[in-house]
Amino acid sequence: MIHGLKKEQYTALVVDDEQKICDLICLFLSATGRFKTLVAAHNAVQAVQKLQNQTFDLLIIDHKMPGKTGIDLIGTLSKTPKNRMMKFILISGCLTKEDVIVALNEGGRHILVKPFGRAQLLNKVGEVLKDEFVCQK
Amino acid sequence: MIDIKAYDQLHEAILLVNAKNEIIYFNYSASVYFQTPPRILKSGITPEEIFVEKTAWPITLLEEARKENEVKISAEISFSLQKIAAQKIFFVLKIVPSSENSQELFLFFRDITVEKHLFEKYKTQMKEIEEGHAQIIQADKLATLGEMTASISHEIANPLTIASGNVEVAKGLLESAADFEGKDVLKNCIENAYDSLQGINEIIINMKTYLHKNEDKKEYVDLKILVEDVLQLLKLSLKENNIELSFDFTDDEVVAFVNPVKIRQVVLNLAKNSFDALCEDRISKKRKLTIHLSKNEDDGSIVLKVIDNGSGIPAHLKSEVFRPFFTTKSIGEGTGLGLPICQKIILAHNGKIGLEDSKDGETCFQVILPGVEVSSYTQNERYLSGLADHPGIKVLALDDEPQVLNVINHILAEEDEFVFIGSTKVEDALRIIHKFGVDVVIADVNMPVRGGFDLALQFENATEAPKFIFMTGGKFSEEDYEKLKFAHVRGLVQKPFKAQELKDIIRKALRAKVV
Repeated sequence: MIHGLKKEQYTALVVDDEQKICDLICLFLSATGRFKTLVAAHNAVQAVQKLQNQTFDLLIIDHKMPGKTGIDLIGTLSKTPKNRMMKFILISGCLTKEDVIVALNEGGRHILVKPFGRAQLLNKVGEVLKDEFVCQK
Repeated sequence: MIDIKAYDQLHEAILLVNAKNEIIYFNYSASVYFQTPPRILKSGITPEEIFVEKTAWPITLLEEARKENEVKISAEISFSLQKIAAQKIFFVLKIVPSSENSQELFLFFRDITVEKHLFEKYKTQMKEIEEGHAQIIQADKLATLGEMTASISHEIANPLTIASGNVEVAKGLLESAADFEGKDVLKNCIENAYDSLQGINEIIINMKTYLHKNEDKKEYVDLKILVEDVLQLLKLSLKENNIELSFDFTDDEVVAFVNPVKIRQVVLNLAKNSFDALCEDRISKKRKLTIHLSKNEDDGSIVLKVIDNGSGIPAHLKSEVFRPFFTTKSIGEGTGLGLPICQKIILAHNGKIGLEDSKDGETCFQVILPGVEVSSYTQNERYLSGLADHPGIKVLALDDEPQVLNVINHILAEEDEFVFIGSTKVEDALRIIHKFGVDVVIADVNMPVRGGFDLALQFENATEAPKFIFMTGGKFSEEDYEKLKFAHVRGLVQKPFKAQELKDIIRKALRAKVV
């Protein structure tokens, strides 16, 4: 299994249909000073578009979105070879057992449950990227 | 003996007794009803001699009838016949003094055996229905509560995240801001807002906790043994009815993380249904009941099939079988709740149950249960539901004995810190490690085919691997000590081990290299 490399600066894509949540996550991440690029998308189609031109170290994807769900998106993306190095975090309000089973089968094993605070988000990101993130401001 | 032709046409048993209570006349039905040949009835016996319980005969009622020259009707009485002592008959006795000689009494026996039996069946049936109904209601309650909790927490999640997140940012900014008039008041307001939002979150968490508490207690169970045990109960009946029972089991281990009592209920119910269908079938052919048990290689899910070659289920009824109270059996034979309850049980295990399209002449019910790893993982959902702050230490145990897995599960369940998954095969363990990520592996080294050493070897050259702790019941040899030097091995534990010992060694394993 290929593991993540510790970097100075990371890039992340945040996918959530709620603008305010994207804003909040980007705000929390940028406050750590460790993210040089933070991009937001509001559905699976937009996310795929953003991925055309660039890859990201980290993708934070909401499950319940119009159109393709977060779990499906993670499933599709994790199967493409060029996305091998990308780490995923699935965020969700409440996953049923069935969702969990599907998520685990699709490769989305890092799950962050809403509502989360800054601390929980940074802990999860740290766990996934195998690094430590603290709020600078 | 007198001959009353009309009485011989009646279904009721009729006797005529003299002043000494000796039988001086009986009709045709009496001989049949009392299972007593005419020569005995003619021999001058008294009625109570027909029965086993002689002292229960209502002798005083007969005396009263004579004295008062009036018709007397007894209460419901029950007797066992001499001939078939095991079977009881129930009747009401009507005593009619003869118009010619009041010392002679006509005894009319009104049989109520059938009504009595139906009543008993009805009582049993009602009890079964009540219990089945209660089970279904309870399962539904929890399911509805689960859905409501999920939907409420889902709806609230976004606004709550946004609110508490923004308040958190505001709080932070306020801390570092220069003093201004009203800063303290503002600070207080924001604190209050933040606390209240946490309070709302608590409410949702409590709802989720309640749900988790009410879930079935699950254990690691060897399904092959469970199925064989259940079928043992039916073995005699199967033999008596000439039904050939066969087990189509995979050679593989079939261990599931389930509630054994409930799964036994499901297996028994399906087997009994097949048994009843086979007994109904009038066509003479070899009656067969087959239980199939196998594992899906890809995801470890377990397939159980109960197949019979009985009369089958008509096509137009196939969609009805899981409907509550649907039954083709007669009153007293079935409540129609068996399959719906099985469905509830299997759904609660995140499995599927259904009637399969099968070959002609075969009826096949199929149950699919999720593999051990998924069941264990979703059981440890506290973290996934946001009930715990951190994911906890993921511990995978590898042992061919389900009981050992249960013991370890029990020990680790005492603390929120641990998340436990059990497996009985190296292949399953590898799949779990790759899919879910595991922090510590406790592996038995004395396993029939591949064991702990083989598993640890797989990670010998990997940079990212779980920490290994070997488990052994017996002695540890020289070669075994060599294996402790594998890259990721952190310790050794001897069975039987104490709870605290196990927890300590796991925590230690995650820190510096020990061995």
